Amino acid sequence: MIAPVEALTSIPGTLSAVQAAPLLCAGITTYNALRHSGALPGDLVAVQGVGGLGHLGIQFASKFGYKVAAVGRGPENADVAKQLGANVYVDSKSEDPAEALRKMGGAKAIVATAPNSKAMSELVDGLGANGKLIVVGVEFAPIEVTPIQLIMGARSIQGWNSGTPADAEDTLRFSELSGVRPIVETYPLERAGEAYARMMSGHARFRVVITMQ
Amino acid sequence: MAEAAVEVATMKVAQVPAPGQDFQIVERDLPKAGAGEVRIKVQACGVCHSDALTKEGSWPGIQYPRIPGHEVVGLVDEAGAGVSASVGMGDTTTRAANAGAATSEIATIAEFRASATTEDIRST
Repeated sequence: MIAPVEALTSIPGTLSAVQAAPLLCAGITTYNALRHSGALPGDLVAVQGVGGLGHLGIQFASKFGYKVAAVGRGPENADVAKQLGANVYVDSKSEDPAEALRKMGGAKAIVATAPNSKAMSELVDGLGANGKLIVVGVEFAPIEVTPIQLIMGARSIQGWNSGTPADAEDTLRFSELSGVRPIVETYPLERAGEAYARMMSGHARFRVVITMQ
Repeated sequence: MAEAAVEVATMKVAQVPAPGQDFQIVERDLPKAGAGEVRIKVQACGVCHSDALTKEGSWPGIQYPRIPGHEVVGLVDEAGAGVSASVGMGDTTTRAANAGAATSEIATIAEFRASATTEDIRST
């Protein structure tokens, strides 16, 4: 491929190509959203979705020193979420995730990674005072929120869009330092269509990576 | 100008021929790095949910056939005018997503089949 030189990022030699690739969008996005969230060590931070972005977001949030609540649909990702660093797993199929977060004092930040606007809407009441819902999962349906939900507790909703090459370098350096690594499924280039379908299914564990040769 | 060996070289790509259509694996001519650009021999590329914008045609104005992908890791194998001093050949590199000017040419998931002289050189 051809790229402008200013878009390049130096990659630490300790990371393989397959390990580094998912850090360059899924990684930057969650790392950058969390480090700009305003949450401080010890604060309750929720990561909604345990997928390509979420499984990295849980790791970053844990390494940042937050109290990490992973929010997923169904019990199947509970164990892996905790292995990745979540202190608490909230199954949004079996309990109201906003209520679960409120019981823990309300989240300072929620990073919403699963592309599901309805699920995002249902999290707003899980924010604590001055809490922020940071939207990174791409969906076209509207997020629904009432003015009173935002006014009470001065909550906010913000989008986040990956970052710059300098942010990419920060993400890679932090991952190298802290041991954050993606869990991937690899496909050869010839099976790109299958790789894409697997990603779209929402069932990949957790990031799909295409490899050459 | 370019050496004959590079002019005849091709790369294998996974491209979307038109919005909503299946991927095609095709050979394309190997591109040349222009001023301020580098050519990257791709090693790995993550598949992101936002690639659906390209695959399904929901990003207005982009041209097809299109090669999606923006989580790219590879080796610089050619530097265009004005960049050789700052980027060493064989450096491990990427193009970050949404990196401002970086979106001017969206083209990845490419496998070079040319005999790249810098193959297997990797910065450590």
